[in-house]
Amino acid sequence: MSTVASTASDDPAESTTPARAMRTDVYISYWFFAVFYGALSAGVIFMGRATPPPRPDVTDIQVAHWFAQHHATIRIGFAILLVIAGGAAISNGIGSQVQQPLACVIVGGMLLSPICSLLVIPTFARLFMPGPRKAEPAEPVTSAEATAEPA
Amino acid sequence: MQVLLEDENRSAATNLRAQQAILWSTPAVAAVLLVLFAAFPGFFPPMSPNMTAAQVAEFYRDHTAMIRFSMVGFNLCGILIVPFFVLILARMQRMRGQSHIFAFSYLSAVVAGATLFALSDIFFAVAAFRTDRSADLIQVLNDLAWIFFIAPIGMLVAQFVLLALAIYFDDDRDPVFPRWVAHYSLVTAVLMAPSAGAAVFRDGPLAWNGVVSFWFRNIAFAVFVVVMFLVLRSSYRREARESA
Repeated sequence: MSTVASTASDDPAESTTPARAMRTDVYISYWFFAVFYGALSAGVIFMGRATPPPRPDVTDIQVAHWFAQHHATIRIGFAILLVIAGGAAISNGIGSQVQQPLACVIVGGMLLSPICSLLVIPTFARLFMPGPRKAEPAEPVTSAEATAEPA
Repeated sequence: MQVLLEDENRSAATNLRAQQAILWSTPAVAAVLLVLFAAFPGFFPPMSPNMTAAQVAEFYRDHTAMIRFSMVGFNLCGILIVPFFVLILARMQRMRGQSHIFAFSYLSAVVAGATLFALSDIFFAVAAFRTDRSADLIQVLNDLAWIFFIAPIGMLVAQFVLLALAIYFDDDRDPVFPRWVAHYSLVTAVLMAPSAGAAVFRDGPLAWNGVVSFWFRNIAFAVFVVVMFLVLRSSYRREARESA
């Protein structure tokens, strides 16, 4: 939290803004994050009836019965979750700024890795690894031998 | 020092020109998306959730070519609308009186929303991929496609709310966007949010073909893009005047 606030305060244009006002957006995001995951857990557990999960060895009839039994709460719970699902975006956004250098390293590595895989490794393999063993030249087969009936 | 200042000015001007180029590409992208939307035979009128499995399978058999054309087109071109929202993100990063937390969250919401839209295209395309399979399976894929297309509204709602919050936190003396954009953004969120009901209702205005879930949702989104295009254009013009 402090990192985000300190980054924002680097801008000289913001230096006149009171420190408390600068951090309010971070507080709102953090509290939204907490409320969203609370609502998500409550929705999944109490409305979606996803906890405990149905056993994997249940039959089709049992699955259909389970959905028939809970269809109202599943629909209400997951419809609410569809509306508030954007909270996941806010939780991803928190800390994104401080993760920027890490993202550069990851994306850079992902770009470099195919070049290594496609060019560098095959080049070194060609230079230093023993090549495929050359096959012994087969004796030429004459047409007379090829057409001859086996004895 | 003089050279450094000139370099910074040149860089800012180049940055502004690049953003304006993306902005002016938006009408072309919007026109392509509109053509693809009109090309899908299931949107005019939108297919009913009450169609039987046999009717759904027949629809996919009768319109396979146009469904494939529109959905492959959406998969290729749908993502091109993302740079437009990145322009909004870039403006949000210029807003003062806040950290960049709303802007980064906005980016997450844009990316996730675009991914969900792409998934719905894929389900439509998969339903049209083997039209000779059982009608029940085609109906399942059709349900998935429609519900993925209409119901997951959370990421769009988050976008509108985050934009509004960023504008409310902006400096009143020199705002990047006028204050009414925040109110308008919240109104759009309220108009679009009920379309989550498409995952629940099969009749009425909240069904996926209903007035609220289909027409309000899509028209509100299209109008928002048009309004934000004009707002962004005005913002760039003001920045160009100030830098000149």
